[in-house]
Amino acid sequence: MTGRLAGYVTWLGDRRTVLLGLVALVAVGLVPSLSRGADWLGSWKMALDAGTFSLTLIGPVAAGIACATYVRLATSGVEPLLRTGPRPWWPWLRPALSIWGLAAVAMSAITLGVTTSAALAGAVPYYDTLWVLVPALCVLAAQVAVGVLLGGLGRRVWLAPVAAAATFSLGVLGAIGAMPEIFRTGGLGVTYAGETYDATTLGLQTGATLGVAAGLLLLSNRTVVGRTAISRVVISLLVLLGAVCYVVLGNGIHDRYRAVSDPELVCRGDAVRVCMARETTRPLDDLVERMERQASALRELGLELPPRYVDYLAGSDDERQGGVMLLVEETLASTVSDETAARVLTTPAQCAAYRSDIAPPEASFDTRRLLARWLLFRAGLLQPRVDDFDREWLESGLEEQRSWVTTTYEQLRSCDLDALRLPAGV
Amino acid sequence: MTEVAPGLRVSELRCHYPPASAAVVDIGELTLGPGATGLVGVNGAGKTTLLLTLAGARRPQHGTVTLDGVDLYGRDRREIVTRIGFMPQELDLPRELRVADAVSYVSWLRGVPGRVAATREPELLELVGLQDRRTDRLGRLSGGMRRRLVLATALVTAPGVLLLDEPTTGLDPEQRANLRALLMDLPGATVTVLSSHVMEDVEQMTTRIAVLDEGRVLHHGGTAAFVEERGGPHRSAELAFLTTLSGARS
Repeated sequence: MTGRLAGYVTWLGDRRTVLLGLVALVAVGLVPSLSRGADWLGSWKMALDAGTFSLTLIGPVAAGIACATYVRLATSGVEPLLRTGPRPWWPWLRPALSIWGLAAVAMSAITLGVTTSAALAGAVPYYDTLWVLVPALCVLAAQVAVGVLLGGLGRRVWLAPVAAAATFSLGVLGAIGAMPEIFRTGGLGVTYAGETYDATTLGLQTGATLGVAAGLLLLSNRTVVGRTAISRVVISLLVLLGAVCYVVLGNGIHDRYRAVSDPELVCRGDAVRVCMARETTRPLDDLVERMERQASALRELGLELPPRYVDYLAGSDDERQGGVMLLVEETLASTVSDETAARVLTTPAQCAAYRSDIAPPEASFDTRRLLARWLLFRAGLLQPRVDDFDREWLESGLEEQRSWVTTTYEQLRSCDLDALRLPAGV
Repeated sequence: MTEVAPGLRVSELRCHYPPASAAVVDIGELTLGPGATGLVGVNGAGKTTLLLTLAGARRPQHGTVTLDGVDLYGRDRREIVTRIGFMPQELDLPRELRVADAVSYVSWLRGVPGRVAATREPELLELVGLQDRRTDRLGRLSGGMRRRLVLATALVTAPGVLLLDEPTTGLDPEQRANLRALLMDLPGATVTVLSSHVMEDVEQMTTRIAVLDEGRVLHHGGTAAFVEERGGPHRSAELAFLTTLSGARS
């Protein structure tokens, strides 16, 4: 081993230990990444988010490892020797850099794994969002620095689990709003369809975490880390930058995501045209197929379908087109249910009321539900049970139902939701 | 132009550990010239702090330390400290590290260029008798071997000044005798400062002695004369030390 290499791994153990540590970090990181199953298979952006979410546990564990390592380093008697070296701050910080690198490799491996899996499952990659790994790596630096500080100053092995717990707690404090979310990476659990990372918010997070990391590393050994004027100036600037970013993040609303002004859509189907956001097209073919099967009942009544049904993305309200409103798990799955397809067919217009802060009239829910059941019944996909509230009406015959279906559908198309009524006797 | 006396020289040196303001080292003038000087004192006398300051590892709050007239904490610090080798009282490197790697690591810490370090490492291990243990892990070394390894790491910069902090502590008599013999035969260093509790080591290995108590130098002079004058009829170095200590305290 050369001296240079020795500087990297001396305090982490031999190669086998380092490899085992890496495997352990990956295993730990998979826990949060897989905490919601593998639903991110349907969205590459969500997979990327799940990958960075691994830091929720990788970071605290890395902080614990850093703490234990720096307890070893600080109590070894090496410090006087490194103080007489040409750049004492470098041997002091190098183990931290190694631990950060190891944890970064673990996070990157997980991210690579989940994003590749998502791409193989059909999700469209958005490589231009990969820059979000940079703020994540800065968060990791701050997490490791917590361990360095506690180990370098505390010099007690039992502080290692304390460092891990403290780092995890910092994430929790951010999540509950007790402090700005500077330790957060990923984990929102939405598809991000039609959205992208907000560069301003994540830039502020990057600045804040760099400031925290620099400050903590300086405090871990002020004499060594702050030895030269240059290092003192650089650290002071980073801490100042971090403080400013922290204060700005603590004031006002800083969403991590913002809507894309003109999200790209992918459309399928001829008889029924359905469009979904390019990043979440996994269930599109199945949805089109099921909608086409059920839509024939509407056409039999001479009703006109909207030119297309479009994914309900932020700012995309357009009453001239139908709306595709799916739950997150429906959007991410490879198939949808017939009930979901029927529900989409009962949304022939993207009425603003569906997403308004004021709920649409109660009757609109009931009528759309009945219309969906009628579609399923007509397609032979529903057999009403004896005690179903609508059994009698569903089995009453098309001529009995024509008037209500036609009127209701036109009212839904024109977003005249206040006029919606259930048929007599239902 | 004034001729500069060779060796380490401290002047108006005061060291303390904040926030305490009491000095743990408080020395007006002390010159440690060519040859071996023993630094003796009770626990807490300030020996290790003084050695760290002499090694360039601990900047004093007041005063200067020079080596051959060059300020150890001045502009030429980087160059001058490489001329000093320091053997700390404890060097607890990871047990899984191999012997050769330990020397490489300390060489890297001390800024020895890789090529030079690679050449010196086998030479140093041969010097301390560990050439057959190059690939052994540190955990497999005996206490005496570990101390010899630490000595090898103190020599990575080929120093002209060697500072030894309790080099024989924790060793059995045989290991101590071996290490002592090794230290006395070391080539290269012109100035050696040996801090030790073991008066036998100091008496045998040094030509001058400095007695330290509460950070101050109580006595500085020839070792033989020190033992002769204060060691009683049996010329006991320990008695000489205790006599000096009690005389100063009374």
